[in-house]
Amino acid sequence: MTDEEYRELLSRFRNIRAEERSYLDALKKRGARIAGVFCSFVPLEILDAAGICSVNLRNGEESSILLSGEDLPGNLCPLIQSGYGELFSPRSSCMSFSELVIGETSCDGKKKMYELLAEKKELYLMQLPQGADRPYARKMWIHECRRLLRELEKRMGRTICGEELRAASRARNSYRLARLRLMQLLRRIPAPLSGEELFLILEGTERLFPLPGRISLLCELTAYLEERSRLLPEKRERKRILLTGCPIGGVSEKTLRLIESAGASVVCLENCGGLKEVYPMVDIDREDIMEAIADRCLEIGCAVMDPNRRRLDRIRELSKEYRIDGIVDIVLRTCHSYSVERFSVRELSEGLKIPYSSVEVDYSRSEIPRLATRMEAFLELL
Amino acid sequence: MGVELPKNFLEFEDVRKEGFLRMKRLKEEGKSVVGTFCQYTPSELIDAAGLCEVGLCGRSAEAIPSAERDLPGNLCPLIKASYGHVLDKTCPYAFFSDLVMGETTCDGKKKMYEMLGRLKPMHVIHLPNVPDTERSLLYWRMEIEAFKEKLEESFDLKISEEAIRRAIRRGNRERRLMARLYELGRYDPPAITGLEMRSIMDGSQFIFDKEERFRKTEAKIEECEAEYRAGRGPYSGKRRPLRILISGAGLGGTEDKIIGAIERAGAAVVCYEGCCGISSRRRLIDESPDKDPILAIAEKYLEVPCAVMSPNERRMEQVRSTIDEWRIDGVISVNLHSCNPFGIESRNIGKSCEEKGVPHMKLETDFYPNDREQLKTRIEAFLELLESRKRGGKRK
Repeated sequence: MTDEEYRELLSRFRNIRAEERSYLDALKKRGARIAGVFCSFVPLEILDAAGICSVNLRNGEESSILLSGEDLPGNLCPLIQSGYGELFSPRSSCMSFSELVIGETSCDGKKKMYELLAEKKELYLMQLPQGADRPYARKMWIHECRRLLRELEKRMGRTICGEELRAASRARNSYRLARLRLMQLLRRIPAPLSGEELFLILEGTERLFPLPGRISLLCELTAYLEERSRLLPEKRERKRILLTGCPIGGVSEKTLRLIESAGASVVCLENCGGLKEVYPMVDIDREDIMEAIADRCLEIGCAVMDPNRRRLDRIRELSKEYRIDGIVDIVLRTCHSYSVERFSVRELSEGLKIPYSSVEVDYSRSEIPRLATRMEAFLELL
Repeated sequence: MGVELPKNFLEFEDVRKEGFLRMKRLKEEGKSVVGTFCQYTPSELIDAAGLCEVGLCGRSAEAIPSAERDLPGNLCPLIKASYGHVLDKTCPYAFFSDLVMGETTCDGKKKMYEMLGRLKPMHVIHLPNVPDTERSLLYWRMEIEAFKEKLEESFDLKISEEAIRRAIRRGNRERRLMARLYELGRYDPPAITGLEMRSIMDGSQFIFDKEERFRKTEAKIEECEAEYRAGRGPYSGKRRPLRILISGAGLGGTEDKIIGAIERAGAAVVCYEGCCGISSRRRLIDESPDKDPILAIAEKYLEVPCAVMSPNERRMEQVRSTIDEWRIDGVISVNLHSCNPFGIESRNIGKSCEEKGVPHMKLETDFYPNDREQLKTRIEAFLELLESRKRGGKRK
């Protein structure tokens, strides 16, 4: 990859909406079956094995919020409002290409929104346990995963064998590994790419390419950036920030970009869309592959889990690994799980002697000046 | 139009305050106490263990400022108040609780309990999300069994099957009694005011001797019936009031602003709907001797129609049947600020009301008095609408 090709790719990723639509349109025309998902807990390996393409419905579009009308409360998570609003969008979208939405009972807001969504769209709901550590939690979630498999078998009119699940898991693992390798480039000092570029690549590759294409492109990008970083002198200048909390699609401009334009570097994205969903891999050597798939999900350190030590342990490790100077916790409005869990993350940061800041945000642009001041003040403290 | 209060009105009101002293006496006698928050509490096990159960405070704004040092501002006032009272040691019942029992109903409470567990010995039961027998009952039964073991271990006792069966029968007696209390509202005009209904429901929990609780509640119900028959009911000789159903949960801290305002405006709250609606009262626990009692308890509580369940068709069914049976003129949904489950579900409540041809209004509030006048205006406007519909004979 040349510098110019890299720049072109980034500018493509900056405006992916239209391209994503034509990508999905082409898929559909070739007869692909498409299902939409909101959450990392949905075991995509099962969809892959069934030959169903999955699309991410967390679109981050402020304009879709208005479309949700009066069905949902105003004081609600923007991810939920905009995801639901897409149902009423006049143009084609990830939602309109999905023949089915696979929901999950992760948070209250989504759980209840899915009930309304089910009036307009076919919905299949998976039941997550409230915590991963109960003695029965694994059993219950494995049962839910098998139930999903049966549902998809019925839908596709064929049985899906263990070997197909194993192959799908292997491919997903490679994809996770490719994402991880790219993200790990930011462990270097100085980081060879900005957090904003990283986020664009993670989103763009996921939304514009089929799984094998994503993997090869990520590998190519990683090789290119690795090469580029060799040319950079090793010196530490910018403060290194870890972002944690809710997914930042729709708010990256007022979190990631504000932090970086104030002179720091976001070197670690702990949230969904970043490291949270890549870390646990499926143990493909296990005899019962479905159990391995289910177990992987329960390792995700999401705040909906009670208790959620996995997230705190991960932040502790990442802070060392990425030599973090500051932690910024992003909470989408009324995401109570992440919002209340800030107490524990703040406490952890104090223990680690790393300054901590948290912001509650929605998808509107009006807060940008306020947040810019906030972030500048925080970075000065570092 | 004012409403005359029956003579024992204050009795139940005082019980809560007096409960503090009762509790102190109980503790001095060596009784152990379990503090609880929610309708999902399998109270039968606490009763079977010979322990005293008490509902913890979460109804006043006083403790919210200190809670907000640890909790976010944009959060349900009930959650903040519950935490704040324990933090400030201003809830005498939490103070006396040897164990606090929480439940993973909503995200906010679930995460708040993680913090509360640092302040008090705590046990949290995990609820299923889907109220479906095939998907959830087995695991939910395990949670209830684990709670039983937790009680046995914490208080060094053994809960016999016989004791559980006895407690189930006693719990069912209480449910029947509370159903009768609601049924006083079926009379036209109602034989009780909505405020008084709540005051009895609420106050009776603080009479810790269950037999005494049942006796007093029953006497109160009978008194209301007798007064009504003698033409001395709260609405006797007056214009028939509009009949309002209140829908929602966690009303404790909003009673006067909403129920008070409705009744001061001359309408009557004749029933409540939500987790403590009529179907929870009428749905008894299976007492059959050949039934596994823990499973029977699990089956009952899986059917509590709280908005945290999805899908929650049982609640829609409850709304529709209460509208019919209590001959409701209008439904008011009361949502606590930032309560996602009830907030989103109120849209389906509205649809159920629409199916029944009954107007529905959503109110969102918290425990502070600031919105008192605004709520009053909205309530009065809603009642006016109901009044004109009634005169126009538009009800289906």
